[in-house]
Amino acid sequence: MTESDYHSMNFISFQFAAFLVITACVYYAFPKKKYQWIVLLTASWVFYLAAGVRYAFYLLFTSLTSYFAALWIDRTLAESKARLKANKETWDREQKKAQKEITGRKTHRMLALVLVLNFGVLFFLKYVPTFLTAAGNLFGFSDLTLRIVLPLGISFYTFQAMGYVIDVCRGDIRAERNFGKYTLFVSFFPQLLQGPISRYDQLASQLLEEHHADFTRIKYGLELALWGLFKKLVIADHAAAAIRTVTEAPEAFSGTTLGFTVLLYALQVYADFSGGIDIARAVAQVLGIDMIQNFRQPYFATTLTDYWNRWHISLGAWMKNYIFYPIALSKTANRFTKAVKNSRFGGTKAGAHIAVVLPGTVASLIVFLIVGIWHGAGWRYILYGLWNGGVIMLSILLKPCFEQVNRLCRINTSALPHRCFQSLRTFFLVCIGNITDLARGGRECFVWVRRIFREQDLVAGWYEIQNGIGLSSREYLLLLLSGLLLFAVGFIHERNPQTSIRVMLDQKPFAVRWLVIFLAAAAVLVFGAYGPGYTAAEFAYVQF
Amino acid sequence: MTRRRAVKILSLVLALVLVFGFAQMYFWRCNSHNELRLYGFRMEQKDSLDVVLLGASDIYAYSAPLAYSLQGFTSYPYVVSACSVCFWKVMLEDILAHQNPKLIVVETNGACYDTQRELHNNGALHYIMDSMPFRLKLQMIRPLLTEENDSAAAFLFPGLKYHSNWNDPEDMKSNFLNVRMLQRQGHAILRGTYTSRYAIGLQSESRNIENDRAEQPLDAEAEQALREFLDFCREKDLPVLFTCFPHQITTEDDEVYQNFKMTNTIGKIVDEYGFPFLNMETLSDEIGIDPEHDYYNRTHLNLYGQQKLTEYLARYIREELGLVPWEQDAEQTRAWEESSDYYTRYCRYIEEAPTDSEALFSETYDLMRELRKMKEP
Repeated sequence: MTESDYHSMNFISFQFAAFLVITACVYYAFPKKKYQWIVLLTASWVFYLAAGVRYAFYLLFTSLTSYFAALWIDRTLAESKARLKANKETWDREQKKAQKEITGRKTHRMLALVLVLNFGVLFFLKYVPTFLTAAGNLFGFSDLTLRIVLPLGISFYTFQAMGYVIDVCRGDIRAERNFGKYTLFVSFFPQLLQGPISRYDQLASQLLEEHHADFTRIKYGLELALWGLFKKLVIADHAAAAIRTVTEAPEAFSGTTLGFTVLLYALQVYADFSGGIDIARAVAQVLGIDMIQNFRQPYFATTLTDYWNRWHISLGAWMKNYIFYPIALSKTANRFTKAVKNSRFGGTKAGAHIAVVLPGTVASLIVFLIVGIWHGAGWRYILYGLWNGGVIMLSILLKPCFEQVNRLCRINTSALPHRCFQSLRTFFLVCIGNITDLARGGRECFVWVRRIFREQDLVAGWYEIQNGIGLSSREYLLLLLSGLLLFAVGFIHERNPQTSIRVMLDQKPFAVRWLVIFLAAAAVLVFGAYGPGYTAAEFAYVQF
Repeated sequence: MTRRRAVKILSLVLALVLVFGFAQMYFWRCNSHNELRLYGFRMEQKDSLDVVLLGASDIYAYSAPLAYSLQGFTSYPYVVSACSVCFWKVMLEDILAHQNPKLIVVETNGACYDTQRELHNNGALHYIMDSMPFRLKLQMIRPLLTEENDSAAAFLFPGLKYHSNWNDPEDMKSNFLNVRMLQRQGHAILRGTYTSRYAIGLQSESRNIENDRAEQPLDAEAEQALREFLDFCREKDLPVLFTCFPHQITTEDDEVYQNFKMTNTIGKIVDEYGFPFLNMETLSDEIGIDPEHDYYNRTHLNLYGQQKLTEYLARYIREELGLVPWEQDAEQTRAWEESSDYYTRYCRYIEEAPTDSEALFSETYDLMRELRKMKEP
């Protein structure tokens, strides 16, 4: 997708602001509240078509295939249930089991078909062009290229729609009969660009119910949007320019600067992605809809597993529900656990531990490999998956050893210094994993790591950081202060997860409240990296 | 929504608009001499100017205070760097909205621009648009909206482009002080004067163009804009003198020579409409321009060239065109005398700059502070 396509309806544009105001006005003024959702559906498609008519085909394809597949599965399940009910007295256990198996086979076949079709499209669009180019380079055909434009938000709506079909197949939810209502769930515009990936039972009812304009909700929504804009424009986009300078020519910089860039990237990617999600959630909130939280202070995490439970929560939940559990709780995993437990090795402490945790850790590794591959085609993404999955696998497998060391060293694991150490250690591991985002290829990841750890040059690094990566001392100060603010807000939420800064602000006197909002808006206007003086950076996750 | 809430929201929005507007007025500016020059033009007392010069940077070769001290008429260069013919009409309307000059001098180099380079060049367009009041921007915006250029919003609200000035406090400070200085003075004392003492020298042999009548067609869009401008001037029956200021035309610089040939074409077109055309390109010897010492770059005259050209043009306007200046009140006379005085100081000041300094001097707060310190001549 070209930049201009994204810009046509970027969250941070006058067009989008006008679009949102019009949508909200029409939505709340719509006379027949029962059909209010049609306004959202229309707005969502207008939003999507504004990015390019040709992309709408893919969205329509996913909507249609998942809608009809879910409907068919639902009907098959319902018929089976009805048959079982009708023959409750006459059928014996075996007959009932056979009926369930037949239904299960049928529905799973349909599920497999729709998954293959949709993930096949995603796979084709995302990876085939890269593979073709790589094959062309390998065999000397430089013309062997396939220029395909990745439709806007295809990963997010594909994941969401497939999650829905799986839920229907599992019998967790009933299929939606109204195609319009279902399409709204798939294409609801605030989540289309970069998520969060919502579940049908969490989002659909909200989309379809009546909503009346509520000043407090709208105000909270706008405040959240302001915070998202601050993160994106004041923090992420200032840092992005410097990071780009280094990643385009890492060989020109010292190991110290590369290390600094990794730290800067940790700040940038969090501010960018969480800022974008805040804006998406804020837009939904203005329209009366609560979308799930996608971040929960990830850099306060004490383990890598904890980190992934706090970062891109909706993707993690999707992976957990639809990939991790099916593997970890599969019959094969159960058989493995039983087999190890019954073996001589299973009689040892280590054997018993491994028998229990190994299926889960293997499932984790697979999940992270899939997440890595989802990020893109290339060895660095495989490395990304292997690093995260591998570290988690090792940490779980070696957990008894670590606990033993803690006991021997008499470390108080619940004390604050230990928690700080754990957070720093996790942050370090995350940063190492992030190098796969910064490097241009798999091999370069190792070069980055080697140079960061073996080619430290503080004098050169200090000079480069001051003069060579395009940030002025004032911009560093801005990033430092903004980063501290981000940390403070995260700290407040971490101390008391129920706290809402917006509610806290609401309890303050009028003058304080409005002064804070005014200062925040002024900070975005003055310090934001927007307009032609800056190279606009797209939201990092839009590309997925 | 209650009335109280509406008032609160409106006050917040209003406060933000005020801050944005204030910042745009004083801090979020391009900080170019172009902006200040046009700002100064709008500060001139209404209908007080005898002559207004319209065009691009070539007119830097003219000094209004010097013309006043030599020939006694008041003038102002309504000049923006790289100002193309496409904007002349709107700019002339702006001039006529403020002044009723006895003569409008149009320098025609802006009609030699082409679509590829100058007519739609983003940077050049910002020079022009950033210097214009909002209502004129709305008139001028349409041809600027191309893929390569900044968005319409960035042209209409310069703050979108220049809000990053916070990163350069020195620049913000001078933005603020320059505007405040003009506001305190009540007018631009140097009246848009802008030049350097630097001499680039001759890069190759001067081309003899005295009897050269070679022509070259203009860019189609430029010619259409020129004809529309001429139609407008004829329709309004305006007293316009078209002219071309001298450039350093050498045997090896084809680009400047091509412009010269286009100037011949422009002369013919202007003639079709019955307006006078003074091609000073061919009058360099008569003006006394020394190609070796009087240019700070190949297309712009330096301080010494400025003095010679202004003397020639001012005399031409008074003697050949018979311009009789408006009657001035004592206050205006005092202000223009002050301008002449400051121009003399300006010349002395920049003559003290090192000969190899390519610095260009315009009416900024720091320059004026230095000029004020100098003794009266």
